Amino acid sequence: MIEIKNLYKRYGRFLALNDFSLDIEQGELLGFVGSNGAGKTTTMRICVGLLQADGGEVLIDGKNLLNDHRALAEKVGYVPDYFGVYKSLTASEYLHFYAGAYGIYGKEADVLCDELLELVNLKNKKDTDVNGLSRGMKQRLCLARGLVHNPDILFLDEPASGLDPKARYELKEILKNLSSMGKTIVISSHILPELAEMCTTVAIINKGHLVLKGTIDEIHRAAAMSSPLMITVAEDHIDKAFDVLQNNLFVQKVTAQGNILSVVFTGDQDAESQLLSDMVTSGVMIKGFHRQEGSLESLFMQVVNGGSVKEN
Amino acid sequence: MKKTKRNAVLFKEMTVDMKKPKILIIMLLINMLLIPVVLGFFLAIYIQGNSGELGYRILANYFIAMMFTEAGIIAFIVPAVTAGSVSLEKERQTLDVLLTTRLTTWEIIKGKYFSSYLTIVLLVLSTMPMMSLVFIYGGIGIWQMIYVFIVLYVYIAMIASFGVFFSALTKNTVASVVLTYIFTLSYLVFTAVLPWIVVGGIELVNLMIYEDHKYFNFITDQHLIPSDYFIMLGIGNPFYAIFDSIGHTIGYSIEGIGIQGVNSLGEILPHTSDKNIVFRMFTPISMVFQLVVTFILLKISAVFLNPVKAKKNKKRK
Repeated sequence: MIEIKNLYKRYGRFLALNDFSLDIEQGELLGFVGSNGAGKTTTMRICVGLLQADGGEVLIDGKNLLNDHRALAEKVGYVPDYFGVYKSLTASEYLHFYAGAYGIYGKEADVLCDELLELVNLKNKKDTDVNGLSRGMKQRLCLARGLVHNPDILFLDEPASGLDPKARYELKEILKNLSSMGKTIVISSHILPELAEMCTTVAIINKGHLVLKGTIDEIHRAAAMSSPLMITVAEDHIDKAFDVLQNNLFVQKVTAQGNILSVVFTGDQDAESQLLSDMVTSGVMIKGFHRQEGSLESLFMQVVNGGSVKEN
Repeated sequence: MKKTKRNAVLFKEMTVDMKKPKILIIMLLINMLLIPVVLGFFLAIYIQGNSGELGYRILANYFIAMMFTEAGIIAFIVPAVTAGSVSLEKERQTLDVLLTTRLTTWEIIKGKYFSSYLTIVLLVLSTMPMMSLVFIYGGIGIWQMIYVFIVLYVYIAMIASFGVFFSALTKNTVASVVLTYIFTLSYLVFTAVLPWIVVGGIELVNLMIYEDHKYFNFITDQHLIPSDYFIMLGIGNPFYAIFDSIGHTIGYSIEGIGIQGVNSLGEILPHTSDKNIVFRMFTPISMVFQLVVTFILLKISAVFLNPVKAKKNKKRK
């Protein structure tokens, strides 16, 4: 389990992390979402020991490993948002080098590298120069490199960035496979729907602060709840409907387009039912009552723009 | 999982990077640069041999000239080989990943350093056959030559650490190369002239205060520091060490440089030649000094490379 507690990081006058806290359970496949500059990469770099936090701590299985380089390196694998590959190395040599960096050599390394190349579907590219690999292949090779020491936790910084749909699908399948092996995986992205496809949990960071964390189902529900209620009433009942809506605590804003009322409603499903009941009791003739289909993008935008979405 | 102690960086650089043609090209270059020197050596021997002036001391002089030429070439080659060792990792964006592995920054620096060092050792070894041509005429023994090469390797060790140091310090290889060249040249010149600067300075003070430049009144008259010892200020200069290591067996010594050099400033020093252990140990002391400088620079490089300095995080409100 990873416990990130009250992290602070400042770059000059820019506060990149502001009291950021997040708990990640073992075996979780967490999507870490935020717009550019929100603090995703900073958080990851602190967690893997590449950056010094100005405050706070990161506990892995209850221990602060940030000052114990070897223990942290054994526990964590990191794939940054750039490839950083050596020229004149084949895919196999590349993995052998990193295996060596973890003290694995000889036949043990040979077997390990073959297994990893097979895991990321690159076995047929074993002797291909790293520079000759496509972007998707390089990304998979980097993923294999991150797994060379069989870490319990894997941090992937924007791994799907720039990948075509096929490469993205392949990456998704590999990550699901790794997740089923019990590894804790944290994937960052600035595209929420992209992560929703592959993650079990999502955390949204904005301006260095955690604004939402929940399972994918909860996020989808939140997305739905973040969409306006669309209420269609009889044309001569609009004023009466307005009266009822104005008296409801969960109604933030009402706009009318003909006899269709768009209601920004922050209540849950029970509150929705109560509102419907109140309107019927007040004699409003209702022709339609439903939530507009919610999108993850709209949820994300609402969250990062300071909207009130409940944190789970 | 079984862990072995082999340095992965060193292993990779030695097995993979050695395949690159760059090393062969530099090897060819260094030997081509030495060819005119060696040919000049033979030509001079031929001319002096015909005139009957040839002696062991002259042969040794030529050998010193050849070693100085080699040391000079090395001063230009080593920064080119070492100054990109860490900065290239930064430019290729491979350093971050390397830092997240089990390797400590000290191990990374050691791997980078020794791979560069061994490459240069290989380059210098390639010149040994050419240098060994001096055996045809004698004057220099095999053990003496081995000793001089050891001194040369210590010198290489030190200037290789300059390259690794600036490479760890900067993000850009070009900046690292430029800084390494400037620093290497400045270091060699400064350590070479330091004894003369000090002697000259004292002489200037004498002239200004005592209006007397005959003696180092406040030093030598009180026998606090015999004048010859000033050359020991050049202990950091590898060229002095190379000279001393060759010159000892043929009657030269670093003490001699001191006396002759200072005398050339105006015959200001009395000759206090006592064959002191300090003078006899000039080369070993110089080598130890250079190795200490090397170790310190590499340790500092490792500290520079460490992204997380060991300090306690504080909670900030």
